[in-house]
Amino acid sequence: MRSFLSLRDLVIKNWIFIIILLGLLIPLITSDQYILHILILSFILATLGASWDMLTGYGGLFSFGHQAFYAIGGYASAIICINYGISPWLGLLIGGLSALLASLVISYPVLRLRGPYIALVTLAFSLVIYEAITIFRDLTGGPSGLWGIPTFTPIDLGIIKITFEYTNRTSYYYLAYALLIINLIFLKIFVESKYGLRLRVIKESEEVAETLGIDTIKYKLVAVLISAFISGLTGAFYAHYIQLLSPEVAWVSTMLDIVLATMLGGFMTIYGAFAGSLVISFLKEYFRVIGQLRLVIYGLILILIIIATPSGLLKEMIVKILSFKKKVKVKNV
Amino acid sequence: MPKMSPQGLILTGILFGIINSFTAFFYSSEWGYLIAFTIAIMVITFRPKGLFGVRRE
Repeated sequence: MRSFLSLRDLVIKNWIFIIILLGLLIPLITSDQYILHILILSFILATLGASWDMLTGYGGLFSFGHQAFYAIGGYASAIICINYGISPWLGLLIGGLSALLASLVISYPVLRLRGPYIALVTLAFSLVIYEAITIFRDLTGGPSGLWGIPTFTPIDLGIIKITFEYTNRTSYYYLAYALLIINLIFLKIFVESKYGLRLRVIKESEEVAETLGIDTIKYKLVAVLISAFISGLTGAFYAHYIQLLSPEVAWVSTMLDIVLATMLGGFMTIYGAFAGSLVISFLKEYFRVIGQLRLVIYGLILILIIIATPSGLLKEMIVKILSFKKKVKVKNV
Repeated sequence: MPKMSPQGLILTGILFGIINSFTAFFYSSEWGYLIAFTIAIMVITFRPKGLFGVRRE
């Protein structure tokens, strides 16, 4: 009994490492390419959700234009890699940097405005990007999509040669997983640092923050830039993974997925988006048979979650489970 | 929230319709929404009370 208790304590204390380990083991357990594909897509969604959670949950900047950064990153990397023959590995960085530049443009109105106006401006910005992608079809391929995006070049490590092929997605899986974990840890550190704390003050009250001597513009700008960079990076990864881009990437439905995943997992948790996106991705595949009706189900789930548990379904569940366990422990002692 | 102005709403509705169809007529029908959304961003940025909104003192 004693050893069991300590094992449980170990699990509760180091749950994050156990989840990371579980994720690493999945390709060894299953070689089903379909499941790996869904998991890769859910990792992409989780990275986007975490970056959005940092900006919206902690910074209070209600962005509705994250799909624009995502699409800009993907298209920029794809176009440059196709036309100039640059390695897709460098393309990841190019995608992030181009999204960062785009966010510099949109941050001018975003930093001047507050509350719902930010949502309006970012939504309008994402629609401008969507329209621009369909219009400049010489560059982006227009509504028919951008074809022939090169995939990641193989890495030669001497002993092992890592290749990226459609028939075996294991290497893609590990790459997506590495991107997700690195971004999650980075965002968590950022949010827990003094930057994150000041962002939270700014979210609560900009006047108070300014009275305390916090440079609100600077901190908000840093948050926007980091969030956009991560979204662009993810978009570039998506482009080189799927090897086909269509303007649908920049459509509002991408944003809805991000919001739903983050809401499901819990606001202001960073990790919540990971849990939420796993649920969303598998639900999406499960409900694929009913076609457009699944959007109705999406909406209903979102409404129910917001009404029932404003701090996120999974967060509240986890808190309940943990507190229940603690109560039992107290009784035993 | 800013005060609503029905007159402004009617005016901008007509304005957007004209801009949309003029860009379609003189240039290309695809550019209509792009220009409309760009104007919307500009207006929200530089005149948050709207084109015909009154600045409250």
